[in-house]
Amino acid sequence: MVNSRLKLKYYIFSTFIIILTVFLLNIFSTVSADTPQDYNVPYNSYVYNFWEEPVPAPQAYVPDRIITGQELEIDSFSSPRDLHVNREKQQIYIADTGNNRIIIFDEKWQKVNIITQFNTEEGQDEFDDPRGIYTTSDGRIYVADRGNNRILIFSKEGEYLDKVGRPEADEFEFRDYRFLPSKVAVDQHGMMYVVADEIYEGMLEFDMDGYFTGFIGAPEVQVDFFQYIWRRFSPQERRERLSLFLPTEFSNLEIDERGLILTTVSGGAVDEEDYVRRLNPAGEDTLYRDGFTAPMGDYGTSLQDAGGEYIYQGSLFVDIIPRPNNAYSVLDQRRGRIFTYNRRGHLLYVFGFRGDQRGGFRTPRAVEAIGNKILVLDSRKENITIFEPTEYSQLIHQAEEYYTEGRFNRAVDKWEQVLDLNANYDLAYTGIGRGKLYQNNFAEAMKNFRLGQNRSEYSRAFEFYRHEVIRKNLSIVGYIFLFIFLISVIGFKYYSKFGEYYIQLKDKNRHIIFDLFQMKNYRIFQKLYYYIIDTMKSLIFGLKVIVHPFGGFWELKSENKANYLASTINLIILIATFIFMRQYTGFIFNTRNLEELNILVELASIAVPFFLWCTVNWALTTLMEGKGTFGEIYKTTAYAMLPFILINIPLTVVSNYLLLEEYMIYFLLFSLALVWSFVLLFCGTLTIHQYSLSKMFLVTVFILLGITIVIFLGLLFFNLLEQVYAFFLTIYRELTYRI
Amino acid sequence: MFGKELYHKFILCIIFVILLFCFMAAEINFARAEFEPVAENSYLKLYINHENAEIAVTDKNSGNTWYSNPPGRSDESIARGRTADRLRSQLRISYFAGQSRRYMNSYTDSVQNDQFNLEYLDNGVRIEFVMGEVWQEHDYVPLMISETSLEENILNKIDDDRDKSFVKDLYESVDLKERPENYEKVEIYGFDKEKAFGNYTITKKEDWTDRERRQFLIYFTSRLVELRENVDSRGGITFADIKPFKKNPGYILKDGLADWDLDDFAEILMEIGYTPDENTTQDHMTYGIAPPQPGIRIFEVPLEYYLDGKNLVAKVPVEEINYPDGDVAAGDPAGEERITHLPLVEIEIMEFFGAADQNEEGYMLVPDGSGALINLNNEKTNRPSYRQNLYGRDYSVREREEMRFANKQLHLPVFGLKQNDRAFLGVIEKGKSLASINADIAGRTTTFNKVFPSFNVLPHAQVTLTGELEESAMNIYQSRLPEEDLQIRYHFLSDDRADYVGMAEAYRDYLIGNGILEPLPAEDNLPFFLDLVGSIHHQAPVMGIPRRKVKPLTTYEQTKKIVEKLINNGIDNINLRYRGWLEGGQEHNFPVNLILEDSVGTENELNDLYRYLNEKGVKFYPEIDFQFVYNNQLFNGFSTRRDGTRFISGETAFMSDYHLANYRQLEEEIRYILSPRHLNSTRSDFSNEYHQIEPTNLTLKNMGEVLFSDFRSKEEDLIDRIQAKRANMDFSYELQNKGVELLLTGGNSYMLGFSNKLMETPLRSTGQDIIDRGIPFFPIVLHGYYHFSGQPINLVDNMEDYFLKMLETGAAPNFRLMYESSSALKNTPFDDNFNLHYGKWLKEAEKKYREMNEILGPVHHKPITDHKKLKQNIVMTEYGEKKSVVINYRNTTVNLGSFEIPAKGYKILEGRIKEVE
Repeated sequence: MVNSRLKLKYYIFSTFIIILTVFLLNIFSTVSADTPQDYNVPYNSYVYNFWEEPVPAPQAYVPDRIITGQELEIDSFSSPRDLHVNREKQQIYIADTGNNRIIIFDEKWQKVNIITQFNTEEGQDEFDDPRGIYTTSDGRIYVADRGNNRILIFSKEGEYLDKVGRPEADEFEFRDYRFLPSKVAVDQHGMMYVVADEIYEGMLEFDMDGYFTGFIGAPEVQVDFFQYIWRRFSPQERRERLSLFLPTEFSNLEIDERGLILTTVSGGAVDEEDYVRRLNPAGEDTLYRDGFTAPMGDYGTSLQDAGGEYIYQGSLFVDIIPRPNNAYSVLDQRRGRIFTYNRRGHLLYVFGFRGDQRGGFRTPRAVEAIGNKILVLDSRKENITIFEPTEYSQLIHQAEEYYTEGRFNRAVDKWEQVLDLNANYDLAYTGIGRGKLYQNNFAEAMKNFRLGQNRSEYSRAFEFYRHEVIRKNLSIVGYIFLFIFLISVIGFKYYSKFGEYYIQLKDKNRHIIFDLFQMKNYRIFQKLYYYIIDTMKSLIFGLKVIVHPFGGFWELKSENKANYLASTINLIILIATFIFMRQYTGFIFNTRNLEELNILVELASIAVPFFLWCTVNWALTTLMEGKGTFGEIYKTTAYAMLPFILINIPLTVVSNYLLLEEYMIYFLLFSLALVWSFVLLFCGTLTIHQYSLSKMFLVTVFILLGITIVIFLGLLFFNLLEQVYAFFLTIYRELTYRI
Repeated sequence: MFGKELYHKFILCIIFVILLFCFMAAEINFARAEFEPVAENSYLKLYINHENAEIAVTDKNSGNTWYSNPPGRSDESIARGRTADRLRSQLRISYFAGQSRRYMNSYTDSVQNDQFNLEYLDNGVRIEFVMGEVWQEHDYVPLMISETSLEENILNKIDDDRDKSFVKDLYESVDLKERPENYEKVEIYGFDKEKAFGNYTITKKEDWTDRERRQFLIYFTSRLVELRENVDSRGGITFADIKPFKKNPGYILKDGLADWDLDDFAEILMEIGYTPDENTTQDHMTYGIAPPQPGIRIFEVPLEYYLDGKNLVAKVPVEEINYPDGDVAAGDPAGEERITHLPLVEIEIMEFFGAADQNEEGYMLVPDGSGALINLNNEKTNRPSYRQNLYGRDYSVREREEMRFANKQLHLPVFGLKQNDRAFLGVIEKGKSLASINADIAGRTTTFNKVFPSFNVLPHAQVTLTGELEESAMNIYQSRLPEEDLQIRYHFLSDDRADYVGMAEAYRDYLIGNGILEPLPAEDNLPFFLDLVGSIHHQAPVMGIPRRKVKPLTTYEQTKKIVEKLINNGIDNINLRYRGWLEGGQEHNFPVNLILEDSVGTENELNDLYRYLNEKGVKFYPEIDFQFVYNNQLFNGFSTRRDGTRFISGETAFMSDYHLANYRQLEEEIRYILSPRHLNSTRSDFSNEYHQIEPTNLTLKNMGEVLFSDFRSKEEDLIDRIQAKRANMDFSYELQNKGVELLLTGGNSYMLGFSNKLMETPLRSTGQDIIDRGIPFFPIVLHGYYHFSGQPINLVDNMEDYFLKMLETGAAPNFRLMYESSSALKNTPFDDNFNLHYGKWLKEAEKKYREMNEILGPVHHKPITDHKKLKQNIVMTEYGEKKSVVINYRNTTVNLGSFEIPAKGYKILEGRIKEVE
């Protein structure tokens, strides 16, 4: 009884406590309901590999907090356009465009100031459509007040100081121009750079006193040969008007630690490669583009829409921020992603996504970094998403930092940790490779550069390695070279003699085998034997052909010195050497994916042009009084390819010992084979058809034309076939759906 | 003494107070004035309003009343027109007319037209809604009417004399008389007067001019031609057509009447209860002319409410749904001309049940991921409202050309709403595989917060037919309605149970009551889920030609080593999921026959491993996927035409991978899908052979998280999503019957009864923008009844947070490992598994397991009894009323009065929550 009463008491008491607790806790928890650990990250991360395919990567940054106007206890934002962080003061500035105000927070998101009204020379004034905001290290605030066609300058306390209006310069006609500034930045010398709408000549540059000094930053036109000619013939004024710069629509700019201007381009006649640039005060681009491709966000993303037309859907960069160690992050508005590149232009990581989930964007406008966090402003969602770095991206930045500081051992350590988290990360191998290179461990460096698909640095490591090996084994290398030299000299001199001798020897012994055949009546074997002998003779005959094309091909035609089997063997060997070359060319010169070898494709890539040539050649020359038969054409073509067979293999071997800078040697050898083969083909065709030189030229042109036509017809045929197929498919589908 | 004035004032005051009370009482009663009780049991009382079919249910225990339609809707300030009408409706349907989607709701299209019918059930009520206008106004007006009928049925019933004369004025009398001698013929082109009238003639009044007569005749005959079925032209009129007028002298509607006059007339007819289907039809039949035809866009949807114990059940019997589906109704004289196909694709049930207005505080529960809350009136009107379908996408509906992320799955068919101190929880009982959960906040379309289910009863897809020059699109639909009813069970909660924990408990009790969940046996140690990747496939050249090659990653022997190391490190109660033991690796060949993958070991080695694991007390669940056909070869027992599911368009369905950056379909990796129809036969073929080797259990990959229909066009071949669900359940039931213990992934609610082990259960919400807070609703339901685990710890973004999350939800640890080094997966389709090498994780696994086992080991078979957010990023979970874990997700140490919790740390409290304070 007592017990149960106690229990009851206990129960009542505890209930009371619970209610009290809940009540108290409710008071605490009314502020906000932002709990990142309750949500999954809504996007996948990736990096691009050497073949421009996206490869999965761990998350580099995850959404931590979402900040809205209500949460900060000011009115909600209204399509805010710009966000700026002053690194010295650790303050956050927001251009709340729709509400025509500038809001300033400290790093803990406590409100510092809101500027809506201010006193200018002419009295009280307000913003109209303020689109850009920037602060200098001493705290001065620059606002691109677009609707009022001016840049406003405020003191760090938010007092109005000055304004810069429409540029008034003589050298440029501003008469019809409305000054519509949207972004502004100021370097440490007080030079002000402005991105303004409807200006395609570049960014506007103002000096400390607010005077317009000129344009900066439009990429230079690369004049090619035809343009040059065209320009020569155009009239003087026109020549001047075809100015040296391309029309460019800048979307944003930022000044980095070294005072260089980082810019993003969203339109105009600018290559994807130039979407991001780092300009020095002279307006020259100093950005490194050593990555697998230039920093341009997503690539290979032109999409086919329903109508079958390809639409370009590359990244649309709208903002850029400098990151530690001269890295930078760019915001892609199209897919809501933030791409981060390091100093040399290698893609470090990608994060973000477009969607209606936590951490997704609708219309992201601005990106900023505060400490190691990243803030993204979304003007449609009217909020700011704060991203926290994960262990993965922190390791990457640490490794980069150690490398810049020259602490290579530590950098290697960090890169190895990165690899533990992501075995797909090519850049980590490069990083390790660099570390090893500085430790003078060249072999290891090469191995890692190879894993990281970094050919230029592999070449550098290889240079040292080669040097080292040669130095160590100078004598052996010398002997080897001498030996090779001797062998080749002797071989060259005696090879043909040896071949003749061999055949004579066979001839001597022939009667023995011959008798054997006679005895047993094996006539087939006898024929076969002769055929083999014949083939071998034919193969050896090839060596003569390639040095004496006219005589050789004449013998081929008149004395039937080459048989079909030998020609076919030549063709097969040709294909085999190309496959060998594809797989075993040195890493520096071999940019193909070795794991994706498909012999059938390789075979087709040689055999199809080969037979196309033969067929078209035959078809045309029979019409043009050519004396050659198809068989002869086949043989001639096969023999004309011999230089490739001779050069491919040595070339492949040599390529393994060449540096990137020595590509001329590689190129030269290959060109030699190409020219030689072409000469042979030309001479051979001429000889077997018994054409004059001039006629042969004509025929060659015709054949090439003929090949083009055949290819064209082939494509046409396949296209037609496809359409017929599509037609029947549509009928079939329509029938099945409607019935 | 009182002064007289004071006395007066006093009396006035009293009168005022009394009046005030009267008004208040009237106000209070007003809400329920039209509601009449229809059913009652010891917990609930159900009311219905006969005027508009709205219902209300009172929870006797707490005295709370829940309305099907918000009683405060008269203050509605946002919605107008049809949207406002939706506040009064209980059903909303959508149908397709050609390509355009149209909507109807039970108020605008049924109640307003007085087209519903109430019927009492044993313990509830049934409302038959007929939506769409059955009779349009002009259908009321009789075109010809007999004298008697006009007099009796219309004029006598009209009270107003002005109306009477108005009606009389609309008609002209038609009287057939014998022709007088001196009759002058009126010639009308193409009309044979002799043939038609014979000896009779039409008279109206004495002083007809010829012109008037002629005009009247033209009008009369043309009307006849128009209205009589058997007459094509004036020349065709015979005396038989005219004859009825001789018997019943009558009237014909005047020529050229104004529309508004007819409308007024129709209104009068409606008022006096003159109906088109009886009276007008009768009038027309008298003269043998076509009766008015009821409208074609008519949808009949019955809705039943009944009380079942403590719950209210709302049900739509699908069998009794009627929609214009192209069949000619029997006895319809207009026949073929009226064929219409208006497929009814979706039904929303009780959109505003229990809806909370702008003044209420509370939240809505949606089963997004692990569960999520949407605060009432959260003002996020610039974000999309919530709508997700249950059990994931049906990939058979149509192939998807572009896909972002597929992590928006809902596993549980529940939704709920808490306002102030009361809450309801809706559990979709039937038709759930067609359901979506919808939620929206006040301020967007109405001033109410609502959460409700909708049912996609006829899945459809659009197909485009591409011609050379033009493109045309058409809709294709599933060939019939599903064969299961739609049914929702509402639980009512009040006071301290009216929160998400209470909702989870209610749902858990419901599952226990249905025998789906069973308490776990009391074991001392927390289970440990080990997910080993045995072998995978990748593309590599064989003799120079790219082929699918299998790469062993953890052989049976190596498995032994890993398990041994784990056990030696003190990890107990291991559940081993092993992938890639069937030929072809992790994405194995079609498993109609049991063919083992040789690269990981022989059959003997497998048996050996099984025995070894048994000895060590490790449960072995080799993984198999019956639904996807990964590597379709010739003669593998799977024929895409015969056994594959079909898209609605009739083409063979498949799943493909998607480009990471632009989300486009990648055509290289295609997987076909085994039709649910063949699941069981495939299973029996497989399990015959499976029982010849030693392992007895299986991991069913995907079975717990994906659900595909097979949209074959023939009705009898169609496997709709409900049948597919049943096929999956039958399949699992059969396996279970054969003594195969199952390990599942994900955790779709219908599969919960077939296992008590789950992997990769969501522990977090997906974070749609409209959501305010993710909660561990699913874990609260499962804990103590299921061994479950979340994502592999070594693959999550932030291990520290995830570990805390596991403590919060009571999930068991899960590691995905392999023996080979992590780089073995580079350049394979499995390269998203970044970091699986076991050597790196042994220590971590041991540490995490020890730490968790100490906390959760003793309570892992007890249910979660409470869960609370204490402060921003600080939560508390109470296990089995015995132990509480307070978790600090912040980066800073937190002082909670009597104790401190370190940054990213936790604190264990023995006993209940009171000690927290």
